Amino acid sequence: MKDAWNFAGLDDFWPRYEPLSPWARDERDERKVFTDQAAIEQRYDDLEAAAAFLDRAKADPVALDRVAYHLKRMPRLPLAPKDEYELLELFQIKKFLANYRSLLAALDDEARSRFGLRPAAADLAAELDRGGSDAETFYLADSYSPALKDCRAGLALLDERLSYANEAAAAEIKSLLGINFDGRDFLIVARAALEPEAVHRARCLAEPYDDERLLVRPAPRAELIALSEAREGLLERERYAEAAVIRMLSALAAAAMPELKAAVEAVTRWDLARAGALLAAATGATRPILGAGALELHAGRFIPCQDECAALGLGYTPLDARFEGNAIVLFGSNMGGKTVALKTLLFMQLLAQAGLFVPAARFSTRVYPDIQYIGELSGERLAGLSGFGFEVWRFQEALAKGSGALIAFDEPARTTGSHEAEALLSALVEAYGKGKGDGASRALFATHFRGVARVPGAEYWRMRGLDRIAACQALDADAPLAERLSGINRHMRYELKADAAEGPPESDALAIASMLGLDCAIVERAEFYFKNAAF
Amino acid sequence: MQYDGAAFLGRVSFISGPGKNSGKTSFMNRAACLARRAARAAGLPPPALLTVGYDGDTRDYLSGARKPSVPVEAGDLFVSAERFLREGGSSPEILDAAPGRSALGRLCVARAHRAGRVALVGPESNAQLDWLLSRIVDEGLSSCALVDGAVNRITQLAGRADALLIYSLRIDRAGLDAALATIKRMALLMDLPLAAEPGSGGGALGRAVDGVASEYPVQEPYLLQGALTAESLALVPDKATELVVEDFTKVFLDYSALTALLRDRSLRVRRRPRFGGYSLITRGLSDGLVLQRLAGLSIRGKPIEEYLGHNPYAEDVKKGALP
Repeated sequence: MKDAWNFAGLDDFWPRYEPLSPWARDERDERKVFTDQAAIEQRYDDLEAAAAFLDRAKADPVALDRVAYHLKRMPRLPLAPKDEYELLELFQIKKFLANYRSLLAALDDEARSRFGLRPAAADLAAELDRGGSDAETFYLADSYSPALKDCRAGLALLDERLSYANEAAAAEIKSLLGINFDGRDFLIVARAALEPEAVHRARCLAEPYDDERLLVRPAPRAELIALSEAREGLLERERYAEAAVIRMLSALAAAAMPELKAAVEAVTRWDLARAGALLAAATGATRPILGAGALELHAGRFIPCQDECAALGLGYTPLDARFEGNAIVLFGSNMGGKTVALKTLLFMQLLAQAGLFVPAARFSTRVYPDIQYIGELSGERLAGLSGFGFEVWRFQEALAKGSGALIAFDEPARTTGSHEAEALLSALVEAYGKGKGDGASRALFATHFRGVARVPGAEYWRMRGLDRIAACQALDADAPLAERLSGINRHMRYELKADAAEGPPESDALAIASMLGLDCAIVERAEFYFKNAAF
Repeated sequence: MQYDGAAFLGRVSFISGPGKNSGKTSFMNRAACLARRAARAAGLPPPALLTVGYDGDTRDYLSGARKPSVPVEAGDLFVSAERFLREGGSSPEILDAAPGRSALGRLCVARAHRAGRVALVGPESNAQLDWLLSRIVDEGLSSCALVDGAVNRITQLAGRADALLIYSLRIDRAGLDAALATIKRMALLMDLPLAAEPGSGGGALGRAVDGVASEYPVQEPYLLQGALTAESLALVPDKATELVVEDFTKVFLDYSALTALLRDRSLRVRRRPRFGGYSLITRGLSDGLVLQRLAGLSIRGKPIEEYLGHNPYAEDVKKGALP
């Protein structure tokens, strides 16, 4: 489905879908397209429930901000039972639980119960809350264990004595040598300024730094050594006491893992639904109708194209379509919008199967086990094959995958001559047109080859194309190219119309070529050949 | 340059230098001590200490045992990996975990509950460093941040309005000429004028090139995306006489190549940090000799002397204080 995803411009749209917690972001980044209708419908139900909450809470924007704030602050955490968790993992669990509690408080009963967001791991949370200066930090606090408390009290006392002893030593050195360590472990001092005997008397060690200077540091004093040794001993005992606390907390955390896992799953589900509801609200999206039968789109907006048009100051026409059959041929001239129509349909289908609402007044479709795009790709993937060879290989690959897929063919057989292309395309349309019912594949063919055979079971549509009279009246032949392009766009009717198999219509391509400034004589001759060609 | 603790407050100071053993960590330790005092006097939270690599460990001179090399006081913030967190006896409280991982494990922001020593472990990506600085400094957890790191790892420096660069290097007799070239090169880089931003009326930036020679007419000034190296310079059309790079960390020319470039062309930067000066640690030669050899050099209109600081561990013994 990756080619279909890329062709439909979903990657341009996807950043608008913004879940906030790490697990929901992971799932968003997987770009999942579901094929189980029940799972998709459940996502739609979730999205509606989230939208209902957002609506109920809109009078309280602070609560809504709080929901976003706490989702954003949730850290990843270990979700497998372990004998001993790292300090950082205990911190992550504590921070998650703090934000989880706050998230629950910001939601109402209906939302909590719908998404299974219920209080979790209360005993563990209470224990973890004992360590740390606030709800989101973690520290192996003295209060966890009397042994830890004793060690730390002893260490505090020793640190005070060490500090006093260090200060006394520094003061002694300063008075005897005139040098001020000022918190530094060593000093570089001019040799000429120090007499060896004075250094010795000040109980300092001096070693050559260079020809002119000495590196001086206080010599180990017996009292400082004794205090340092005592400190090391207490630090060792502290580590044992800390390890015991970590084991105690780890046991609680391991026991709480099923609850934590359920809480993470509920958060993920809520976060995806919330992000989906916000996206739907921002894009005016509606719930797709999944079922059998026709593929129907009413006022479908292909958002990437709509955005692009807005940026260029061009109008955008939403798409309406209703297809009953399983082989649909879309004719259209250059710039007529048939490829955009194809993209719009795939965009809607992929969004719908990603469990999201679609920017349309109505979108009715079925769930396809596979969605394929066959058309121009950014790079050749089979070395050694020509463009035609590659295209044929892809046709066969699609046929071999069996039935049930939605396949979008954009300008199929474009790599060969027009007569062969029309013959090949006719055969493909015929093959897909034979498929009956919802189990068959549905194929959409966008082409400008008018000579495709009319076969039973296929539907033929065309883009309405250029309103030539209006375009000619409005177009200023001397206008700059960009202005002429936007004039053509303004008068292009991006609508689908059933195509009767009558003779050759007037050529939009030649009219457009003329409007774009192609030499009049060339255009006239082209029209002559077009009208006299055998169709 | 005066070692003034207050100068570090409210800033992210990047302490850089040419490779290992250039005195960066020693300078950072001293700067932390001074910043701590200044923060205390101003009623601000203590500093945060970071590295963009791994500061390693040193051997205790009493016992010979390995120990983390950066001293911290109670209240200091530091960034380390979980596995080193509880070494050094600083009794850390975890304030946050950085997104992503480093080769040494997940990084966390911790606060020391008591004095001790810590092993700093730095982020591997610029995005992680950005996140850490934003969390620590921008969210007010610390009054300032001191970052120990090589120039080629500190691209964040150019992007922060509060960035201060200090360049630390050791100089001995044998390496004097090379060190002087390093100082002069840094002076040239710090002196590079700022390029006008597009649309500012000062001349729009020219077409960007990415190390590919072009047949198109050259529009001045010429923006080089990526590094300015001897190789990328060779691909710049001769006609381009005004070059622009993103910031000084993108310049990988040595002193003589940079001097040669500046003889023929102008070079500007789109961003430049505040320059705090050099911390020079001399051995086997006097500070005065270095100063003498740099005489006449200036940076941003000020004489080089104003940018030179000497060994932060050097002590001038007051006359008459000796017994």
